[in-house]
Amino acid sequence: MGSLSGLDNTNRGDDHKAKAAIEERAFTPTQWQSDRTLCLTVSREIYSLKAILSAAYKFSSDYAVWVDVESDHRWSVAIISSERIDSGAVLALFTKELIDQQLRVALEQEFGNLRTLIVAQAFSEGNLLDSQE
Amino acid sequence: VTPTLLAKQQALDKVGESDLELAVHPEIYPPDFLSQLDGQSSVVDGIVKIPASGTGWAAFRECSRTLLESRLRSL
Repeated sequence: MGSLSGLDNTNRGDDHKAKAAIEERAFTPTQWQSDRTLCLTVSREIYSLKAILSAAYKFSSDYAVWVDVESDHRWSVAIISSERIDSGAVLALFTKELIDQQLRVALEQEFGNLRTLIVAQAFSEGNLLDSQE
Repeated sequence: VTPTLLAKQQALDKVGESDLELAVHPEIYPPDFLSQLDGQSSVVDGIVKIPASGTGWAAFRECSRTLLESRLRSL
């Protein structure tokens, strides 16, 4: 009976670890906050370092912003105001900015070479695209 | 939120009220990048040091902005 109980506890422990792992990798932002500080963690599998730094930089004109690593799966961002922070509004704006910056990164990866070619063609006297010329 | 990170976040919350010494994460700001900023923007030996003062928050905001801007340029 004792061993069965131990097994149950082991399984429960495994379940707890699995649940914690799923929560850690969840894609939704998690947060901690105080009167003037909002901290959130976001997935590293969705948001690149460039996107997170770009979003943080945009907010750094009004807030002190500190980017950190929470784990292998999540970035941490602390947004600190000099006075009381409207955490709901700031969270919504930051999330929107983060998505916008990640989209820019994705578009750059996908179409960056094409843009370079178009710009080169625009400033070129000949036709870079026509191999006959 | 891990306890270590929570402690760091709670220290950030007190910037300007008490001395702040913050280790910079090497994944975000690599040591070779950081060495270029050493002595500037409150970065000393890879650690951000903000004294408790009336301008603590402003100094920290300026420091974080400089770090972000420089790192973005290097990416």
